[in-house]
This record gives sequence, structure tokens and C-alpha cells, in this order.
Amino acid sequence: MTPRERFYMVTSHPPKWPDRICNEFIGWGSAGPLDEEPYGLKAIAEYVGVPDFADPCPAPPLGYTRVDERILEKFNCDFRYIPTITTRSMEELPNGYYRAANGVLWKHAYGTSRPYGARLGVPRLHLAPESEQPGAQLRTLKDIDEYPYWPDTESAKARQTIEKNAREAAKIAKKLHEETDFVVVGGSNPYSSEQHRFVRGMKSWSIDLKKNFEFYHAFANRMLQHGMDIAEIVYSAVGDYVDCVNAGPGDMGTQQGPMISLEDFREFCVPYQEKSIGLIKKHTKARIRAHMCGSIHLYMKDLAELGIDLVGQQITPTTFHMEPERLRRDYGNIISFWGGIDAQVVLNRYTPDQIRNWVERVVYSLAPGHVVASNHTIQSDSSPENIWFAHKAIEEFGKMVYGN
Amino acid sequence: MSLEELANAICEGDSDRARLLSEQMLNNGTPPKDILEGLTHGLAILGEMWDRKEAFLVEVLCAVETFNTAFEVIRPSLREGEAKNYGKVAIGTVSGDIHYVGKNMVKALLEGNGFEVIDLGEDVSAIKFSEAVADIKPDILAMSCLVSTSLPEIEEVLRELKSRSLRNKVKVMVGGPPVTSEFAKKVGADLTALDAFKAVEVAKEAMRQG
Repeated sequence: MTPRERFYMVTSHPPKWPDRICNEFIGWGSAGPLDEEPYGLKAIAEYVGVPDFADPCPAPPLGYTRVDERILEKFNCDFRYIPTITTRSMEELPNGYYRAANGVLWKHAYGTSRPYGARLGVPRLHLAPESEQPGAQLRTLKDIDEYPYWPDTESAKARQTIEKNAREAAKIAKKLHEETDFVVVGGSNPYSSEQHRFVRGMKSWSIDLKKNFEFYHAFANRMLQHGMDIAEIVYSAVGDYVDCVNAGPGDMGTQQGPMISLEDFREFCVPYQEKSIGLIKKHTKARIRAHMCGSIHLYMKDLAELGIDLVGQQITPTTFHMEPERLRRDYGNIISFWGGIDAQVVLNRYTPDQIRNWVERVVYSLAPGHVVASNHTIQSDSSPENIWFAHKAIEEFGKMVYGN
Repeated sequence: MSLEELANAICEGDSDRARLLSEQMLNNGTPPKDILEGLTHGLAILGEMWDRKEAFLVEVLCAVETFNTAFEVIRPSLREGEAKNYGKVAIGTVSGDIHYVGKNMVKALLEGNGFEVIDLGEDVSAIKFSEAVADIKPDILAMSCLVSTSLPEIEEVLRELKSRSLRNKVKVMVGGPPVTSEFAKKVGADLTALDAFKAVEVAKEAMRQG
């Protein structure tokens, strides 16, 4: 069975049993390893015998690292990736900040005196404070219209740039699609509530959602409009060659519970996802997966009804209602799950026996509608020994559970 | 117009109504400390709803904003000693971590419940934390972090406090998703809590015990 066949089986609804577990552990679909001291990608690469690993991330978004092909092979990863297509790359500002698409400002997490930080020229960035975000200063509908950082999706020059990037990504996607059996991941997400929150800031987004409905929807519609313009071009080019598209509302949970009520989710998120996912499905038969941090059990049925096939990744008992057994029992026939290998406690603090027990529990509990991956970015405090041990346990239980 | 209505306005995040009610009550001669009780009661109701998963993060952020709006109305009228004063807290997110939502939530709820809070910001170094303890003399030093790689920074702050002979002068509270009670115990922190509302309870209890 090929990785691609395996993926389509585990993401059908209800899911079907493939020959072994579908594996994205160590892949970089929003959850690859960081590269920082004391361990990070460099330590992993050396541990598995690839010390000359390729530049992990030539166009850094958030420090997520692209993983060398040879490392993906060592970990038996079923997935391969095409470049993210954006209208502009991150712009470095004179004050050391970075400006991303939609005007969102990012800054280095660490002071220059910090003994460790990102290596290999990949800056580790975090959102700048809300008080400094230009999008958080908007007050009126006119402000939204006049916001200077909306992506240019109308001028001929801008469209040509997007089309050129999309064609290049499509070349890579086509090659992967025709010459390999891997699951090809790529595309663009027309709208996410998380991106909306990044631009507006957490507090302003919350107040808009609870008090300033007209403003909230005007802002969301403006973001969606630009996102749809870009996505239309992107999926026209790559739609036939991708198997898995990262889309959806983005992070909508905390570890203690969902960020918003189900009623609010239906009013403020679902309508935009219907349009967003509708456009993607118009151009591709790829499965749609949503990376949504935190406790999102409350939204699962709606996510499935929206057409999201695969959702994750914070599958852990330390997150409210996100235990693997509960997810499988409640929604396992209508949606598949992505993640499960906890990077907050398991990979960095557990003993080998504890890691093995956790992997067994996750693999057993979520099968067969499961793509195994880390729960989020693997932080640099996870030793390569622990990561490799988790991988071996995934291989062992991923065959044993599925083989039976 | 009642304290219950005021509490409900806080709970519902209705800033305009909370401000109006506070102004009306002040004009009608309601003692400001009673109005403050109503405001605080609103946060307490919200805390119960949070525990029952009937209130979510956005409701809490809006309620805190509403509380602050109404509190500014009554603040000038509060006589010294009328507002509850449980103690002084210096709070910050540790070095290498600039996440602020959880930290700000704890800060706001502590303020709403009668603590004086000094916000040291995010990406705060061990030296800055210990200088704050020396200069501000808080009763509680609260440290927040989101990512597990920030945990060693908490230990660094505790080491810094010890090296400056400040450790016994302050209670240390730690919190954030990767912080467990085992971790807190291991590094020698005095207090920890699962979420922002529990952090307030823990802080109050610590101040009661002295």
C-alpha cells in the first residue's frame, strides 16, 4: 500500500483500516522540530546520521523548520510538502521587528544576550504585543478600508507575482504527485479566525466578537476577500496535484477549554469557513485538514459538517476533552485525527517506558482514523533519543494495532 | 439599578451598562466600596461559569475590560482603605517567552479581586525579576510561560533570587500550560494554579496564611 492510498483510507468517513499507521511524525506540516539549543533539528539530524542536512527553512515563517528529505525517510514519513504561497515575504524592519502579510508584526523572542536562540539563520519569532500591532488600532469601518497592509490582490503586477509563485509550487506538486507515492501537502488557507486574531490582537478580536459585530464581520469579510482571491489562483494551479490541504479556522482552544462558545463559533467562524472550504473543494479533491490548538472537542461536529477531514493536533489528557479515547468515541466516524505525540510533556520529560506506553495508548485509541504526528512544534528540549524512541514505538504499535 | 444588575453587566461584558450603573449608584449615594463589591461579584460569577464551561476566554477578556472601565468610575471616590488590599503582586512572562494572554488574564483578575499588580511585561530576565523583588517588595512574584523550553527560566529566576538573598522575602507563584504542580514543587515555587481564576484563589489563600 502506498502512503497516498493509506492517507485516503484513514481520512475517509468512516475511516478504513490501512496496512499500517499513517505517519507524519517529524514532518513539518505545522509541527516539525525547531532548531535551537540544547537539541533541536541539528541534534536529531546528527542522531539519525544526516549531519549535513539541508538548509531547513530558506524562507522562515515562524521558525518552523523544513526537514531534510533524508530525515523524513529515516522516520518513514508518508508526507511531502510544497512551498507556502504568500503575496509577500516577511519584511525586516529597522527596529528589528518583522512585518508579515496583513501587517502583523513579529519580534525576536530572545534578547541578544541569550546564550541560545535559533541557529541556521532561522529567526525564532513571536507576535509583537497587541499595543504595537497596526491592525489592533483600527476603530471604524472606514479604518478597515484604509488599512495599508491588506494584500494587493487586484493589481496586474501583484496577480502576476501570485501566479508565478503558484506555478512554481505547482511544478513541485506535480513532480511529487507523478513521481512519488507520498501524500502531497500544500495550498493556501483563504481565511482563518486565528489570522484574524493575529491582525486585530486577542483583546480587540474578543471585544469585536462580543460587542462590535458589524466591525467583526466587516473585517472578516475583507480578510476573506483577499484570501479567496489568492486561493483561487493557487488552487487553479496546484489543485490537481495535492492530496492534503491545510485550512480551517486555526487555533480556537486553550488547554482549559474552547476559546468561544459553540453559538459564537457558528456565528463568527462557520460562515467564513463555508466560503473558504467551498472554494478549495471547487478546485481539488484533496483532503482538508485543520490545525487547531487547544480544546476543540466542542466544535468537532461542525468541523466535520464543514468538510474538514482531519483535525488536530493537541490530543492529550492535559487538554480539556482531548483525550484520544474520547475523540475516537465521540467523533471517530465523521472526522479523522491528526497528532497525538505530545511535545509538551511526553517527548521532553517522559522516560522511554512512559513514552512507549503513551504511544501505544494513542495509536490504539485513535485507529484507524488517525495520522500520527507530534501534537505541535517539537521544542528543543526533546532529546533525539526520546524522539527516536517515540518513532520506534510508533512503528511497533503502528504495525501491531493495524495488522490486527 | 442594583448591585446584582452591576454584577450581571460585568459578567456579560457590557461596559456601557457597567459604567452607567456605577455612575448612577455613585450619584444616588451608594458607598463606592459597595459598588466595588458588585463589580467583584460579577467576576466571581464569571469564575463559576468558567468552571462549568459556560463562559469562555472571550467572555473573560470582555468582563475584565468591563470591570476596568467601571472601576475607573469609582476609583476617585474610594477612600484609602476602602478597596480591598490583599497584597502586592509583581507579574511577568519569563525570558524567551512573550506570550501574554494568560499572564494578562491573571493580572486583571488579581486586580479585580483586590490585589495591587505590577506588570513587568513579557520576556522578563531573571535579573529584572529579582530587581523587581528588591525594589517593589511584592508579596507575590508571579511568573508565566507558555512553552516548555521556558521552564528552565523559572529555575533561573529562583536561583537569581537565592543568590541575592531575596528568596525568603517573596512568595513565588508559577503558571502556564507546561507548568505542573510537580514542576512547581521540584523547583521550589510556593504557589501554582491550573488557570487564572484558580490563581486568584491561591493568591488570596497565600495572603491569608501570611
